[in-house]
Amino acid sequence: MDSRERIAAILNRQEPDRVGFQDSDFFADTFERWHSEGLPRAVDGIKPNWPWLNVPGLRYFGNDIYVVWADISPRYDAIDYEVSEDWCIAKDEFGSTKKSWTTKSASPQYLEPVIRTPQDFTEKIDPLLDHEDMRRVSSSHYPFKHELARAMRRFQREFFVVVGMVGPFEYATYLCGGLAATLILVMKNQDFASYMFSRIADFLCRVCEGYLEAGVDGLWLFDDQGSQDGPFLSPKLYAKLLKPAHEVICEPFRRRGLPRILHSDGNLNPIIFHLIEAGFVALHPLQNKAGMDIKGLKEKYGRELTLIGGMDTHILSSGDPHEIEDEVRSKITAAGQEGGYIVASDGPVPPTISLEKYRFYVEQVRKYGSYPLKA
Amino acid sequence: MDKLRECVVNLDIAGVQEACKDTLAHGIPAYKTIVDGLSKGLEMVGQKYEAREYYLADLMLAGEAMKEGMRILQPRLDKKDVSSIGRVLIGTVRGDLHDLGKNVVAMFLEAAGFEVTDLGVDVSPEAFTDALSHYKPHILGMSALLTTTMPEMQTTIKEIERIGLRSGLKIIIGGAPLSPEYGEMIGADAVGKDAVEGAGICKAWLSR
Repeated sequence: MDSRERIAAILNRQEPDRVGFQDSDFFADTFERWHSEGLPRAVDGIKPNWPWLNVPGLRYFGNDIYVVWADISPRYDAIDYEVSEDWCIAKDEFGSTKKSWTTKSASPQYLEPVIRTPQDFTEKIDPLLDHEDMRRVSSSHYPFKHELARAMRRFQREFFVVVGMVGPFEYATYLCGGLAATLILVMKNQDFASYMFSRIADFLCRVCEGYLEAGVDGLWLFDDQGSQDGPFLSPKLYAKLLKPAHEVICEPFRRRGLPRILHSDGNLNPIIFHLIEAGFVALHPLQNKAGMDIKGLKEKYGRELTLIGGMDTHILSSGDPHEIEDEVRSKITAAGQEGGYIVASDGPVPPTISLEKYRFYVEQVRKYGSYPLKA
Repeated sequence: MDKLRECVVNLDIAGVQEACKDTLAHGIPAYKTIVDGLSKGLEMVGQKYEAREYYLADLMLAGEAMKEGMRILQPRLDKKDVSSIGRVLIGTVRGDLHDLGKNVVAMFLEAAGFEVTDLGVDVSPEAFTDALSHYKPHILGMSALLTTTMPEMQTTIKEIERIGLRSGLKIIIGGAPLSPEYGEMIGADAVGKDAVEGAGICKAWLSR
């Protein structure tokens, strides 16, 4: 099987030749450390401030999925106001002014969000959600749709190709100035929150249609819904405010029989049932510390969900070879039965993991990941 | 007072504002309204969060209700009535800009009667030690959300020890990547698994 066939089988809960592998989210400092430990310079993040593994990196470690990122921002002109060696204050493409680290991976501090009131959304965002802007279905790399389609076909020779974008909740946090401000706004004005999520979802859905026309294999939606303790919103409120928005985005893929992956940190256990109903067929990254128990999830949802992630970055950092081998073996045994599992770390790969240990981990995935699985 | 507590627990901001005005109109001192009404209500919200009846969004809204209540009561506070159960210095460590968890902890600490000095985010070990010398708190709380910034907690504790400010100071740390073992290893007195537990630990320390 090639990567495309393998991941298609896994996301359809069919048994592939081996488990999938997809670690593409890294801390910027991780590459810095690994370069000093002998990692080829060509293997790096997409951009200095975006440590998502680049194509040479995907090939180097044997990843199976390539994510084409859609530009779904309102396309404000980004402006740097103040730049130091370590951080910068800038207005981003979403229109919010924030302070971000330039040398580290961390959430930004919002200084001036673009929306504070429902009226701000109507005036400053709504008119800019133009799905027909051709640059959205392409990015600056592929300025025309036919170029995107050609690039997609090229990547599909090596990878399963998904379109990646943030979901409506994460989008709202960019507009409102972070998680706390968004949660307060949602709780204070649920009618507006519902409108905002549905308007963003409708826009994202239309952008997705363009990618589907270009031949994409599936969707990877990045929409954090939880903290270590549980979902941000109660299950009831998730079902009322966000589930309809997720359904809208999943629908064009569902209609074509293409998979929908949700990335969300945190403990999602109380809302998994809703996420499945909304249309997601796979969950990533299954954080151990948040109580996302991969064995329990496989038992409970294995027929409906593909599991992506679950490899404990804490063990990969501080475990000895025996412990790392045990982690890989036990997770593959627990989640990989009859397919339905893609190996990935349970969070961004931190710089506390040495290159040697990471290579050892990848070797163990190869050792234990072939079907029939070794007990 | 029952009504005020009920409004806080029900996350009813308008109700909290009205109930605060009512208590003042009935001659109940502002400090009593804060202690027996707002704070008790928030404590009940914390219990519901611990019991997984409430979620993070509910905590945030309870914090807003608390703020709105305080806006009405603060100007009517009699200074002689204001006494804190202890001083807490709190901040997110150097290199880390996350403040949500820290802010929720500060909210629960204030509700519990602590005087809280919040140093904000990206606080260097030197800024922590300067503030310790200045405010002389009973408790230091440090927050970090990233595995990459966790080591700053140890650096800060070492710096506190080096300049001789550790004695008599309780140190509590919190943040998603932390574990009790890590806290013990770096010399913290406690690790709060969430804001409610963290505030509870601080309260228990000072009531001994």
